[in-house]
Amino acid sequence: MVAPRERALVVVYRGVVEYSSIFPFPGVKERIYRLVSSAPCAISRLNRGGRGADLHLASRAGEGILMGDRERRTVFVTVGTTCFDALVKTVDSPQVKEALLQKGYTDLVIQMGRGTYVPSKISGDGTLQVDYFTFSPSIADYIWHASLVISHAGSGSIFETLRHSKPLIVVVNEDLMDNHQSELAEELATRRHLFCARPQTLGETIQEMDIGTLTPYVPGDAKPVVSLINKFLGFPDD
Amino acid sequence: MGPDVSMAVYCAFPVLVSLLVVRFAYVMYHSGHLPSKLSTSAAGMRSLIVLGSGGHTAEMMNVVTTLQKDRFTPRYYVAALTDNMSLQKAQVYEQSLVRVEVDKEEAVENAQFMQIYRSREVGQSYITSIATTLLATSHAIWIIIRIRPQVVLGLGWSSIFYIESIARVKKLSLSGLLLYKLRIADQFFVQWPQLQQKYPRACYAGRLM
Repeated sequence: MVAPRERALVVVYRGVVEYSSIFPFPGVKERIYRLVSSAPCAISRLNRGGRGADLHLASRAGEGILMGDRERRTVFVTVGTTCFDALVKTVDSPQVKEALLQKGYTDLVIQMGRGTYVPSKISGDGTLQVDYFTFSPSIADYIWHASLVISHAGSGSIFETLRHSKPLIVVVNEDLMDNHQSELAEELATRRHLFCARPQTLGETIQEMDIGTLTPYVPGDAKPVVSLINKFLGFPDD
Repeated sequence: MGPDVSMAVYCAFPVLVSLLVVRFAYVMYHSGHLPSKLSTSAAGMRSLIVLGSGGHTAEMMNVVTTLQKDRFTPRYYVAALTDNMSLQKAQVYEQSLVRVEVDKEEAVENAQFMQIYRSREVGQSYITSIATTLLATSHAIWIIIRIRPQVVLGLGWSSIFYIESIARVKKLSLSGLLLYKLRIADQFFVQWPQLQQKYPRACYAGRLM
């Protein structure tokens, strides 16, 4: 049987690989096409031939401004598939909304999941545009268009945001019984890839955060694991 | 993440228990026989791939996309009955392989998708979860036995690879602890170096996400 050839999509911005994915994954096609139509960004469609070959990124691919919407700065809040009313409530509080306005954010979009607390659409002085919804199949799109993401500590949401290189505040849900979920967020916060907060400290975290101190997250690679599995099974390493 | 992790654990647990049971029987039956490594290189190795939910499926799919598909075939994907997203992701990926495959019919047969009862839903009480765990475990045993006959046809399934979730930085999950302590997994991967220091028999080979 011939080894399958996989296509990859890579977005290069200012010489840095912003986004890459084995094609197709849900949402990827739409998002890329939207980018193509809205901004002069570079898309490389590459063929990966042979086994275990590296993705050879087109280093000479062009550059472009991906987000042209400079006047709107959206904060996206996501609780994933969980129920995390404490986060929605705290985001809905005047203190947090005021902190967001002071930091120059103009829009607040809340994905509230299975929670029952409904946030108010009107902020204190009406300058922060608030919107909310329960679930969406295209969470990645919201993350992509956000200037700041405030997320629950689910690993799916965390890595989705880091992959998009968006500033991220992770809020740990203290109501969960088996509360090991702060482990990942705290480890990544120690490595300065994100900020970690509790519902009651979110306002302060927003006031005190300096996005410039965050360092980009370099995605992991499954190749060493697969290579060890192959070695164990007696397959030649290639 | 808590619920996601719990879901992954409660989905994986019956599968792991069944693996333990079937493997024990297998080892008792074939003790003294080492699987022929040469025979596996000619054909594929039938692989059972256990998917969790949320970020855990993404981790596993990163491994699957990197695997040499002709070696690890056919692939049996298992996910929980109430988890609609995970198998869908696996199906989308397998279909993307079919498109570039020379022999389409063969490629379709290379992947099968199965759903399994969950031993415990998030928030379910521990008392009722005894019954659902028993149901889930027997279902898992049935699935593994059903796949196994072809395994005996010389393809040499005997290797279990466990990859602890990236969400586990300081402590192993229940499934992970079980496999580690009972030495069930042939290779046990963790994704953080500090976890490897705590569990020295584990292997740290980088992060998947």
